[in-house]
Amino acid sequence: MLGTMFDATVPTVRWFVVSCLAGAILIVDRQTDWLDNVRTLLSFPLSLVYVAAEAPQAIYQGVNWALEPSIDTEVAYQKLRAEYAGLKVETLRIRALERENNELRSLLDASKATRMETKYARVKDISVNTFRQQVVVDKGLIDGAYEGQVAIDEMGIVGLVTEVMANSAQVRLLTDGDVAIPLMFERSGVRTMGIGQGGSNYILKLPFLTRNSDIREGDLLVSSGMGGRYPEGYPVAIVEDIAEISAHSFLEITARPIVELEKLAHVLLLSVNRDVEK
Amino acid sequence: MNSSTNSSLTGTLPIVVSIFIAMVLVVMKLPQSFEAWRPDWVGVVVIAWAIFVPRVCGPVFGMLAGLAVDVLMGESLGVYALIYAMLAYMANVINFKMKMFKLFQQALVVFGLTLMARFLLVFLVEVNTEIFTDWLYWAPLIVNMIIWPWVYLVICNSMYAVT
Repeated sequence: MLGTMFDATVPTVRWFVVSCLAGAILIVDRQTDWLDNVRTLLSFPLSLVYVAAEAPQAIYQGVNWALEPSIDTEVAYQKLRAEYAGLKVETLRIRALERENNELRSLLDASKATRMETKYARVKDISVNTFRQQVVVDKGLIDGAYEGQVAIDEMGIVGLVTEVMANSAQVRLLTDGDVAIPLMFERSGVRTMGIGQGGSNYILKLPFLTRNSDIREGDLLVSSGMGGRYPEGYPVAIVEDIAEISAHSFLEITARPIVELEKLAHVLLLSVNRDVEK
Repeated sequence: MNSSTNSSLTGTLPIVVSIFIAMVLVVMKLPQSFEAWRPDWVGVVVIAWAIFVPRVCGPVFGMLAGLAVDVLMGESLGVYALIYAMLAYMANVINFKMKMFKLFQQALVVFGLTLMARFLLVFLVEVNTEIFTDWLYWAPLIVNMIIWPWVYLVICNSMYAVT
């Protein structure tokens, strides 16, 4: 009978409405940033999930730490002290150079160099998305992290902050399939783009260089600062392979990031202060 | 009146808790070689609830779970919402049949449902479609089948235990 054929428990109309709604949300979120606040709001209760997911690892490490014989603290302390002193001197030198540079820039009427501040962030022991090359770090909205922030480590550029949650943030690595970074060859000054490849390979491709470009294997690529997203002059990758395909006028260049992105343990989040008068 | 609202609250508790546990399992770190085999925990739990209590857990429930997963994974809002709304609806439609099925027959249906979900995922996420040809991309479907009976039994029993 009709009653059983069109059973009221099957929520077809509701499904239609929900699908349209979810589709609209998808399009709006891809095209605009109107829903960023919704995302942030949702992220507050959801950061509990991260805490729970990390708990077993944290307990394991705690037990491990308790069972391990203590390292020679005196030796380690002396070593770190020496290193600290060296770095302190280096910092003073850089400060002086920065001041001098700013003075020179003001003589030239150029804008003052942007001042960077860094914040240390630990990479959390969770894996968020097998489609993406991204990691979760333990600094978030509360610590002043923001979307679009650049993540580096002591070797070079790591990636970009793509989503900020309450006390964590997601950093998309520069080898992810959706990421591109403006680069410059340190040796020859040639500018180009590095395109992330995604999947399971941590490499960049440089598809826009012609055969007559001045490029060699082993060349260092630094960020060019074009577009203003990434800071200028940070090391990014080393040219690993240059292949010439006779049918193409462009070279097939592969570059390997300097930072070991597979084994990332910590990052530094750069924040830019544009109007620092010093 | 008061007692009925109270019982509906305790009734939704197992749903929320199970989705929470599923989300934890989705982001938990696994050894690198197991990473590709990680099942779609939230998808399977959504199907189980949509079969077990179709009047409560329909497309809206699927969408809400999906939005949470979108935030968790840093994916565009709406990707998993669309997928899980579809899963919940389909499970609603076949819930009578599924309740009659044996567990292994149910597991086969779950394989089919999550297969569709996975197809949809590639198109919505728009990562390079080379991933299609990698058989490991489909590996989670097998694990979905294996975890299905346990998830379903736990979910049925949790509801009986609460109410």
